[in-house]
Amino acid sequence: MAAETGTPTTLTLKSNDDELFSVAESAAILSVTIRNMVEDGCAGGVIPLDNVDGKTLASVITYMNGISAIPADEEKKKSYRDKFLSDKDFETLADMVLAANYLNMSCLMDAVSAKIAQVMEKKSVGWVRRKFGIENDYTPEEEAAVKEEHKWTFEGVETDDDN
Amino acid sequence: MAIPELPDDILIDIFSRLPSKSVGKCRCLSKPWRTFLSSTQFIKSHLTNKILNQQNLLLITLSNSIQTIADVKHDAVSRKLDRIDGYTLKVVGSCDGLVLLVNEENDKFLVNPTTRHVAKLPNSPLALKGGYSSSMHGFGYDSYIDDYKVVALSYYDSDTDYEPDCVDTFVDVYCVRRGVWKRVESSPYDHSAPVTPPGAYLNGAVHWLAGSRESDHASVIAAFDLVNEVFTKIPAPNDLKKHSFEFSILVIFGGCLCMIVDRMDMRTDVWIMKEYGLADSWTKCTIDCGYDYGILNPLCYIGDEEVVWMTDEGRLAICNPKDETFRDMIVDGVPAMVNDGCVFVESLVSPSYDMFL
Repeated sequence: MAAETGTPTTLTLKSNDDELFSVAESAAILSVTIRNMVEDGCAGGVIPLDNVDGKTLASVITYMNGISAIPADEEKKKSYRDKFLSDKDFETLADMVLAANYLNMSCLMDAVSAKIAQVMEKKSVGWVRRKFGIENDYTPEEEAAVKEEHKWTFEGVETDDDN
Repeated sequence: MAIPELPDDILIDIFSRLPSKSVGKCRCLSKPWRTFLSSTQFIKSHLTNKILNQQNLLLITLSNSIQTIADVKHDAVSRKLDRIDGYTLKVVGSCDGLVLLVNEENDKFLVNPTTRHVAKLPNSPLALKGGYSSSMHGFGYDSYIDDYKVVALSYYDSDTDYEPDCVDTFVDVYCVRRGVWKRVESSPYDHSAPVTPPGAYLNGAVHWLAGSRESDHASVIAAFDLVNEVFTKIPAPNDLKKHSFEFSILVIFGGCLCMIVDRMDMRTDVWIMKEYGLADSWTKCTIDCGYDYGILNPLCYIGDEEVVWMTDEGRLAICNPKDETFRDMIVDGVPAMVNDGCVFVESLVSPSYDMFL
């Protein structure tokens, strides 16, 4: 076995749009989904990840490599996560949360959910509707009534730009 | 561009991390979202998200207006809530973002200061007549039936003498979501006192200082368990065993039971039970109040060290324990003067029971 000779084992992951990625097993098993496959001996050839596209998987692998290179220091890991997520746009974060959920990576899942909430916190109702593809099914009268009822939510809150 | 559709459990996880105001705003998105963000399941998940549990301050001013402060600091800004009937409103307690207030007529109002919802609670049909009785209240959560409970202790007392007219202290319990009062077994302790303080809620029980009915009349800390609706005893500090608790105050501070004992020499002993129920965990610190501030009870921390106290003259004093200095807390540009106050957390929990049906 490769592990016994000291050579790191490499896994090949396949995205749902047929891109192939090589990743060290030690990094890939941060995903409980992948670890279970490895432990069950299903990781002989290529591991197909049917719910993750190539762009998102590339990003997740960058994260896996980055975070597994950090020794057991929760502070440093946290600051790596923050930095890793800092330049991601909202759509990418949503793809990441789905991927983290599918791959069963609780730390990434937690960090991405927190980041999404942080971005959303001060956004307008219109912005959230657009991003989440929500259809406004209130009549103008109903919308006025629900806004009146939730007047307290609009007080003293600065709304970010709608970009 | 819209993001891919996210499953409900991920949405609950994300939206539970938002401040209450942002969640309220999102109820305006659409009808299904309003239903989703008003569901009991979501509100519970939001409540248990500890990241949001920053403490806010609720104050009742001398003119009985209700103010809240989200950012507690030396020079704070308040927000006014709608007025509530009464000449002297008092805080009974707070739990999960709900605050119970009571006025001089014993009318009870349950308020969520975050969502600004107020519900007037019905009085118990068994309540003793005012003028001939004394009563005190407590408020907390029963995790077994998943409901908030108001506890009223009352006893006949036609004069304001120390001795009550009859030995029984009646215990009435109101379940907020069920909307019903019931009378449970009388308290085994003697609750008669010249003042009727609110109960201190911690760990599923409401606590009062009381007297034993044994021959020694020893002072005790009585805990009313909200699940089983019975009283138990919590060990008091050993040093206070022979002490009468009549002029002591029991409060919750920093998540601990806390006894404030005025030493009558301008110093105040603050006893904190670091580990709930553990007699050996009581620790004492003494605060030198000087002439200027008569300390009553601690409200909250500012930062890691400074503590906001309510004083007996209705001032809010910020104490720096390092150099034992005091200064007035400034609210809206002037030194705050208050009737009462408490801390509460931001939550979306509704105070009215019909919201749960």
